[in-house]
Amino acid sequence: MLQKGKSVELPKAKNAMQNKAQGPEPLFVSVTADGKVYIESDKQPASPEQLVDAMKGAIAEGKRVMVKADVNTEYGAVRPVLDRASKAKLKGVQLAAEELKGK
Amino acid sequence: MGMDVGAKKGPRSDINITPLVDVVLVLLIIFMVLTPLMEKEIAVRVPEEPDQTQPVEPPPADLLQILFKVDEAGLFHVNNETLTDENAIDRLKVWYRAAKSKESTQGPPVIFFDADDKAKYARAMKGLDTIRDSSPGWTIGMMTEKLASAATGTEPTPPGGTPPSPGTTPAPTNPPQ
Repeated sequence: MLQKGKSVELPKAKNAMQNKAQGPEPLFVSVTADGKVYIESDKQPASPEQLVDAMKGAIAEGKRVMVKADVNTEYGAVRPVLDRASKAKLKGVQLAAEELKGK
Repeated sequence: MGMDVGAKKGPRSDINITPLVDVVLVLLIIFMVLTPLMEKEIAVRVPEEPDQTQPVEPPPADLLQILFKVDEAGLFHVNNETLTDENAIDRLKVWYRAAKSKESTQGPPVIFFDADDKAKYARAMKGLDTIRDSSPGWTIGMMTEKLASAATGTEPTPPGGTPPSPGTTPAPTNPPQ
């Protein structure tokens, strides 16, 4: 499907909800299946410092941060992103998911 | 007349773009409608970086911490209790009621979430989904630093659903330096 950021296969979740909040587009941080971290649609994987800087920039612009992690990656690849979010003094992040239909 | 009005000397060289523009406009409208339907999300909180200049107070002794873990094999644990996929929602509801009953003294129910580095992200996401399924009232806190895994004891949870006594779970936020 059409996605912002890198193309990843999103996990499915029953309780994922559409964020109705109006505001600027969130900053997209993608974690691909091989565990690399990308900011928006960058060609090169981001370094930890770049990630923290990008998140601080997002705070300054009032943006939320959306973490799009591939369903096949390991949690160990996602944890550093959350850690960086904490370091950048973000209050929270959004984990992207696809809505599980039915049931 | 000497005027050349074209179409007489072979085929016209410029293509008719009118149908192309029609197609592009239709595609544009389709994508405009689809774009807002794309991203779904689960909101989680990350621990705030402690202000190093302020002394960090230890949590009160009666603090009930609820820690949800996903281990390497993808199994769910709450504090010292192992959950199966079938009973996870029901057990989490019990924990939620326990946390909710203490809301007046401890604030809204918070569940800390952690997953093993080797755990599949899909399982971690399933765990988050299960927590949301059990009650939408949870505030989910993501742990960003690894725990000392041996720190937890093996205290069983009484069948009444009373959570284990406090102090058996490691502190989920950054410990005081």
